[in-house]
Amino acid sequence: MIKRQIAGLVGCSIAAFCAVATVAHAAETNAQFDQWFEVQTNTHSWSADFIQTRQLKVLNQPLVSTGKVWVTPGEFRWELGQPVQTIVLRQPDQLLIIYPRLKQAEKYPLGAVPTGPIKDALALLDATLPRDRATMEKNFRLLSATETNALLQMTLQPRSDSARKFISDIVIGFHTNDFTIAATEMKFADGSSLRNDFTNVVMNQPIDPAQFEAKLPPDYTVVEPLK
Amino acid sequence: MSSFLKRWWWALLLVAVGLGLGRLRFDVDILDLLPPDEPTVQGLKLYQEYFANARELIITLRAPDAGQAEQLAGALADRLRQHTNLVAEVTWQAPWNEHPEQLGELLGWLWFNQPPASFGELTNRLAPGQLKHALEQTKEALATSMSPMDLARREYDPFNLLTMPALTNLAGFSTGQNQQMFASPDGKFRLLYVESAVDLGGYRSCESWLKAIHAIVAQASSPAGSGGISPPLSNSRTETVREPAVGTTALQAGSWNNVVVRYTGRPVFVEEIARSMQRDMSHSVGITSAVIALLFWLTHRRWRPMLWLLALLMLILGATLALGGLVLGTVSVVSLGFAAVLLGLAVDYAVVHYQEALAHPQMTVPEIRRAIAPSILWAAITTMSAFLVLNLGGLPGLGQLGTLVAIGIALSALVMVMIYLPPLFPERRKPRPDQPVFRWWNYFVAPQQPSGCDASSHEVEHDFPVARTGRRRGVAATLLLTGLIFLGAGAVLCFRQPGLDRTGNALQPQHGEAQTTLDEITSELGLPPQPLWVIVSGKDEPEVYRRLTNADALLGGAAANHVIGHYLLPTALWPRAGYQAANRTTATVLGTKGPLLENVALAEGFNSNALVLTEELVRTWAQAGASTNVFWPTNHLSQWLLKRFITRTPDEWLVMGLVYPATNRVEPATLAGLSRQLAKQGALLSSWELLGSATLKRVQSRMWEVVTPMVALVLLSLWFAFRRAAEILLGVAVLCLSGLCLLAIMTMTGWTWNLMNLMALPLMLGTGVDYTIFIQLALRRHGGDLGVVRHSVGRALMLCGGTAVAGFGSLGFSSNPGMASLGRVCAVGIGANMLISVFLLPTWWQLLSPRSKVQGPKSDVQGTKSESSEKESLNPQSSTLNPFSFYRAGLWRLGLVIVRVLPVGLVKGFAIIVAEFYWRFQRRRCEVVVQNFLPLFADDRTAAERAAHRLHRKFAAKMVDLWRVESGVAVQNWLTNPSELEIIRAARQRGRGTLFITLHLGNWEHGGLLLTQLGIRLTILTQAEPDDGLTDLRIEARRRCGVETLVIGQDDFAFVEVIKQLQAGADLAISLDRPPEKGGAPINFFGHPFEASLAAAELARAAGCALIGVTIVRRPNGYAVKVLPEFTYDRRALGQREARRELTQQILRAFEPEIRKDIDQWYQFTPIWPKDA
Repeated sequence: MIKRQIAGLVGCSIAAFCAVATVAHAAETNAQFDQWFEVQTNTHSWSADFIQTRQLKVLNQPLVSTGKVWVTPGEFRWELGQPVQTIVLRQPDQLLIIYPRLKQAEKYPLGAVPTGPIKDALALLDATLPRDRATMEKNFRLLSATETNALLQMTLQPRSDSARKFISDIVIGFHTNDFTIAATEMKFADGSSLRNDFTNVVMNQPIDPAQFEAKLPPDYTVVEPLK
Repeated sequence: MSSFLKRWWWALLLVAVGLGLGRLRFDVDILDLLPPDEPTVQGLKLYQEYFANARELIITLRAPDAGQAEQLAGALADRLRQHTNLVAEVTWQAPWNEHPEQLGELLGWLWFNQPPASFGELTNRLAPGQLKHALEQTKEALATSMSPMDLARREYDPFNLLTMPALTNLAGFSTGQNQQMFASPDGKFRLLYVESAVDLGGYRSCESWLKAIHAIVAQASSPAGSGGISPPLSNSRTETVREPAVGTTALQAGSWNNVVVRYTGRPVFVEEIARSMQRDMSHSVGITSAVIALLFWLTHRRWRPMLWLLALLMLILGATLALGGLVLGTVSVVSLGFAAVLLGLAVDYAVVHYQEALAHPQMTVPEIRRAIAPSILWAAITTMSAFLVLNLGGLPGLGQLGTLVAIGIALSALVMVMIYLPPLFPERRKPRPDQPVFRWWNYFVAPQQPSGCDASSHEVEHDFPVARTGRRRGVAATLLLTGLIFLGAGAVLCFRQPGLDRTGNALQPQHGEAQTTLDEITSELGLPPQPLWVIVSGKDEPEVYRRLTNADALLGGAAANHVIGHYLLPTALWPRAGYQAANRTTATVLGTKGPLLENVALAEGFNSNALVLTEELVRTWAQAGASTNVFWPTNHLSQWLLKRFITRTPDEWLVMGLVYPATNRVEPATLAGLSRQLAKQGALLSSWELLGSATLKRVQSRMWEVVTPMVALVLLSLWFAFRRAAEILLGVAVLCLSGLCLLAIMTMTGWTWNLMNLMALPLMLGTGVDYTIFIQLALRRHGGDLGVVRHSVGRALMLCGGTAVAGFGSLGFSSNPGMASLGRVCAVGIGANMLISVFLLPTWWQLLSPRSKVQGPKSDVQGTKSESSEKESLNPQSSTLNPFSFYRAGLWRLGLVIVRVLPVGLVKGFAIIVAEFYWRFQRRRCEVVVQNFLPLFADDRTAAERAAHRLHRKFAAKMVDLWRVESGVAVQNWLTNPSELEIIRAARQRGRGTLFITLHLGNWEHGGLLLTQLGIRLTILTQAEPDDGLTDLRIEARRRCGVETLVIGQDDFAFVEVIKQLQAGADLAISLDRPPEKGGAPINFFGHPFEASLAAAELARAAGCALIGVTIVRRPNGYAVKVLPEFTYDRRALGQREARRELTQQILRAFEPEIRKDIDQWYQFTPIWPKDA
């Protein structure tokens, strides 16, 4: 169980990052879908504020926290908590999770991850900002798509068995008027879920590259949990 | 031995075999073959017994997809768990994944083991006022943390109770294993640990249990799934691959398609080792038997002896195993290698026997047995000795093999000597009516000539005169070949010698399916290379902790010095009795906090899911607080985890740690010091790599304890068999040359010595000794006739050697590397022994043996004989008899010294004891005397035997007298008749020379001394002694007494000299009661036909000398001298042979009363009566 939780939470973290840029496809929403892809193709960056809601099995009430996200192709930065409790940096070759308050960092080299469920989860990162439908369909299977109040919500299921072991499905919602991201939600095998609701989405504005750099002070402890 | 007794002995043997079969058990643990007091062996055994769970089977499952692998592993585990009669437990994922709540007990126990200060700190953390704050921190972490580990832990540990120092150390043992123990990183390769519900002590139980497990797996993986019945897998199959099934349901077909199931673990190893050993043994025994049958058929073309031989060999193998069971109880399967050794030796005994029976069709079975048994028995005793000495080597396995072979050899010798021939030659089963009774000790004494066998009866297909030139060429070729072999082998060995494999590879289990699967697990799970194990033991927890701490310090130092890479010891996890005692009160307090913690957590929004672990922790503390002894966790998860490195026997605790070498190769020499230091601290460092080095060191240290008695026993056996230095030397020479050949071949082929093939040495020693004994005793029996020896025993040995080489050669293909090397070395060594013994040894023997023993009948001196030759052979009947080995210069000198130093009574007493032994153990020789006496006792055997027995005792005393005289002691107690001495004086006065005729009666040698004292200078006509040194010694001794010696030898011109001396008036002496080799004349002696020497009559005719008969016999008060009336003759008439015959008849008839009076001093040790009389 704990192992699944661990794997689930890894997947949760990863899938959360990739889900914001993942597209869905449904026959009845083909046109919107294609349009959304077109927007993604032309999107070089975006940023937004978000409210993260974690519904855990062990708590009667959900946990809510706020944060900010910056995304460019192949890179992103998440800041969670006010003040910032956690920073997640996705770089081309690694993923860093930094805890400023604890002066700790965890490093996940993406190339060194052995084949298995965690690698599958990390592979979902490649779906970030997909440029074509084929790439998306390689990783996800569309289960359903519903449009309500100009918000298209698609439910996707990871194709990989091992990824599916901890993430049962992913919900991605985007506005049909401007094709910006509205929300993502991951549902885990144990019934927990994690939802991000995005506001103040800004598309294609230059982002300072320093945002994606990790400048860890020397007194930080860096560990590699997968080593 | 009566037939009843014979049957009784066989019945006893049968009972022993039956009891042995009942007691026989097989052991497949190779470690039981090694010295039990060796730390490395102890460590490995402990590891095998307690940590490589003896009951644990590992099933590996490889599927194309990770999800499929996981699903099938779980399903298979469920299926196996249903068979509670076979399976106690199946673990296919970390136990805390299935039962995370059980982790609480282990964690609570770890807290309880912490220093009291740390544990006491918990009471502060769990104080009512602190709880709300702790829970808020947890919620914040859960809301913002992105760390998978942190999230997973905090969700189920709201009070953060898992943060403690011990967990850092635990990580090395648990979390790593969590990832690695059950699945490969890609999830496609999974492991199931199956613990047996039945005892798997023996290999048969392993075999049947595995068969049942295979059947369950096959059933589970069959297309019919749970309801389907699939044929059981072959026992030998350890892999199951399901190919895509056609027409099956999607679920089932998809589930097991292309899934590979394999098995490993101790039960598989045990079953595999036992099966491979069985296969090796059965192949080896089968091939050897086939080769025996083939060669036997090619050699003899007879079915019955071949089938009878095979049947007896199988009987011997079975009986040996049973008797081995009786003696040893448990027999290692590796020791079953005795079978091949035994077949090679046992067949020798039968074939030599059979060949001898064919070569001598006139001999009865008892006679053949009598002739061959000494060779077989001494060969068997020598080989048994060599193998029994292996028990001194310090390796129990080697000792066990030695004991088994020794038992088998004894049984083989007994069975082959007593049972093999009678059914094959039913018409020759019964002894001849006139055949002497053979006592059991007769079978230990080598006969000089086979009973019922004479020179003419040999299957001599060679024309000796014609072959003489060829023989010379053969000698030259043999010597050339010997030199070439010696120089060739020496040259090879000068450049390089075979190495010594110091690893334990020869002892390791074969690289079979179980090992392949294990290698696959190591590779797939990304486990580090095989570490070394440190096993720490102690009678209680404090002692274990102390030793763990000491070991920790030593290993820490070794790591710092780069002797080792790194190590893992569960020191931090080990319970400390002192801490637990101090923490007990705190634990009691914490154990009451359950309701409080629950209430606060629920109030803060957590539900009961979050508190499962906490509740278990608190419950554990409550139990720990109530405990009185050292507290241990007891639930399944804790047990499963702890037994990976901790175990408890009825007597002690055992803890395992891991040591990783500094490089990718274990260097035993580097680790030897560390191992010693650890052993002093009660910690055993071990691994298979260290095993070979440690065991070899032990073997080397005890080498002399084995080699010295082995060599001594072999030499002693050779001495008993031959009693001739030259033949013993030849036996040793064969062994040395064979050894050289083996070493050279090993060098050229790149073979090395190892712990297993070192066993070949006693075997080579045994077979080499066998062959040399067979050949040399055969050479003796056949008078050095190479053709006959090669035709009979040589041919048999070629057959025996060929089968042994084939048997061991087949073992060379064994799957076990040690057994294979043993087979190869034995095949080469035995082959070398055989070829050298059959083709080179006979020629060596001819060259080193005295000519008199090798050559055929030689010309006689017509009655002139030396004392020794009188006791031995120079007549046609005894031409192949060997001189009594007593007639050697060295022994003679020793006798001369002894009689000077020791009291005469003591020496005589000792000599009589020796004579008694001789009478008992040299029955063949003694029988000659009895046969000589029979005509004098009207064929009353009892009377003849009594007289012969007395004769031997008197002869012993006579020898002492002779030594005394030759050592210079004067004889004063003559019992003479002056009137008889007048006869001598009167005869001498004629001045034509005097020929004193005497017999081998009494102390005839004293005659010269007597005549010297009478002022007569005597010259004795004699032949050379067997030993030239002795001839010279005796000539010199006589000269000191005033007696001259004329050695006649083979020189016909010597007689001219004799005649000249007689004509000049000299006094000469000659004995006349032995038939000559040739030229004898038929007379009547004691009413029986007798071939008499005409030497005296011939000399009388030639010289006209006086002929005076004299006897000197021993009486209690002195030496009684009897001078017979002078023999008168018509010199001219002596020109006729008939007249000479008549004179000879007259002379011997005159002696008859004297002989009858003192028959027990008539020392006739060679047959005197014509063979056809």
